[in-house]
Amino acid sequence: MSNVKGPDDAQKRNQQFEELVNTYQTALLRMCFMHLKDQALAEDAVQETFLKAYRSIDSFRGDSSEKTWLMKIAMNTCRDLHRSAYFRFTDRRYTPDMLPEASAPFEEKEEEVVLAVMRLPMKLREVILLYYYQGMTTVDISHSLGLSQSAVSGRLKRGRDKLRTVLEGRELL
Amino acid sequence: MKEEFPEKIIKESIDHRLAGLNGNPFLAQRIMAAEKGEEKIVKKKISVSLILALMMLVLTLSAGVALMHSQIADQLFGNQENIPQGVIDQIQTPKETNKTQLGLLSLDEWLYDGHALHTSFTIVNPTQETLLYTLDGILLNGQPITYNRSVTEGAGDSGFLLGGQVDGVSLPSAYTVYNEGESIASFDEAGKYQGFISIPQGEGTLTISVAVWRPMNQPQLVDYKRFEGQDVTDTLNHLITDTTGYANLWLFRPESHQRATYYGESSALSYADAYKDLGWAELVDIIEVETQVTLNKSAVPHAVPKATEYEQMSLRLVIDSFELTQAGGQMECRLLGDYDTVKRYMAEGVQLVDKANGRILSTGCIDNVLDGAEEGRKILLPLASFTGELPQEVYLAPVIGYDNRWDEATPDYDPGFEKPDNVVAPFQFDFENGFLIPLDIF
Repeated sequence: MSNVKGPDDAQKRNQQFEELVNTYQTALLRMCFMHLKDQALAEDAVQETFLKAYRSIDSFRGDSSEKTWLMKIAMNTCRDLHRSAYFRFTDRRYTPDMLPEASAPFEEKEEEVVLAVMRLPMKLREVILLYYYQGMTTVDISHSLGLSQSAVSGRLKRGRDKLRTVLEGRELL
Repeated sequence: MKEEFPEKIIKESIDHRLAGLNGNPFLAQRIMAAEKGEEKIVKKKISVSLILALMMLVLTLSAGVALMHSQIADQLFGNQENIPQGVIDQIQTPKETNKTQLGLLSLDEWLYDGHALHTSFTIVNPTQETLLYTLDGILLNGQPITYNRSVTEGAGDSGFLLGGQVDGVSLPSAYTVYNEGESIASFDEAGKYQGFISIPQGEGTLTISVAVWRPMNQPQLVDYKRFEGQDVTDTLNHLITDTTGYANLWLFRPESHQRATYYGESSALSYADAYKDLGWAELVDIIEVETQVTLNKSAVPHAVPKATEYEQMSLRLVIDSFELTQAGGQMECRLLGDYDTVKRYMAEGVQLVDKANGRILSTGCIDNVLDGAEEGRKILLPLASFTGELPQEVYLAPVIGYDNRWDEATPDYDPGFEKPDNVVAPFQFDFENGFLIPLDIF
């Protein structure tokens, strides 16, 4: 995306923004849901993320990919919601009953995998989601989360080990 | 050598299981319009401020002081006028207590409003030493009742340090907790989780369980506001608290000491080894108190819809359950019709509104999209407590606008700001296309 100036570029900016939203919105919503474990909060987080993205689109310098930039905004938004007083008192134990209604048939194994990821500690869950769900590299994840690459690698390994333990225990791997 | 982690399993599982979670096709336009000032962005979690307003933990200074007023009535109605006597009359005061060397637990009040079971209980530290108390369970007939947001989750989340001094500050020796439990986590005889069910009517046993911990190192006084918005990386070998005795148990807990806890399990037993290993506290006691209860839906004045199906525009509303008393309640319903029409109708959510009395009864709108037209779009509306009479009719109406300037309860309130007839602050509703639901009062 390029810096835009003047009224003629405003339309271009809006088109680029629409494309950004259309490209990333659904995957972002599902990732925010995995992060926040609450559909309404996830929808708020996505809305907030794109609002911030729209407001700062002109200052995006292209130092990273637009995906990395967008994920950085999204992760900070989710973390802010995690730290809010509302979240402090929310019961964070999670059961299958609390997942959104499915719109298509799914395997029980898939639900188990989703729950296993959601039960990871937040710091590990973030990295697992960005790496495996968003398909980002550890370099890009380190930019999105403001961490060193070694920290990202360490959290990725720990998250993977925890998931492997749980999923092998349930004979899903 | 272990097999490589199957990379695709996570992405495929999330996309398949959450296939019902899809983006809003109008989001980009809404954001751009909002930035131009043409539209307001409405958040779905609009009930946060209401929930926070309900979170009050009253600290009493000594044991055995008779309650001057009802804790449950305070939580439901506060200082408002016209408190409904029909609800107050149903508050039970069993005053059951259990005293051990390390704690006195008193079950002070309970109320069943036909939907939720409200409880209020007090824990007192009878010793001179500083001890930590965490909630371990609220059970009906041995099945765990859900916690609302005004109650600490248990040993995985937080507790209260009572008695003695920390950093020269005397801590309270008692605290009172209020809980509004709306459902029960149900398990079969084999212990397998069955899901959440409504609070059942009839006779039963209500049990409160509190865990007692002895700090292994001297606790520290902190200002929690310092940690707002920060990522804490320190690991401490002692408990922390503020001047109210509130002890946050997750803020400084490393990931290695996090434990999975589930309804029906003792969070204290789950975390006992973790907190001992951290040098925080040792689990020394679990205190229980119980009382016999008779839960009768009809005891509290309540409203019932005259019909369970309504039509408006090309949509059909089916009410699956409706519990409305002045203590609160819940409405579960489904909206059936053309997919796009339902989606447009629900774009900003719906609320249950007592238009005649200028009251929004619901505290939020939770809906799940089903991709088939057969069952319709499920909507869950939690209902808040209120004073005054039960309404003769209510609207289920779509939200079409929002402005704090209409709301007298906010600093942004502007009495000079134009307020259309279809505003029940702080929202504007499309009553013309809303569902008008007449009610019978019992």
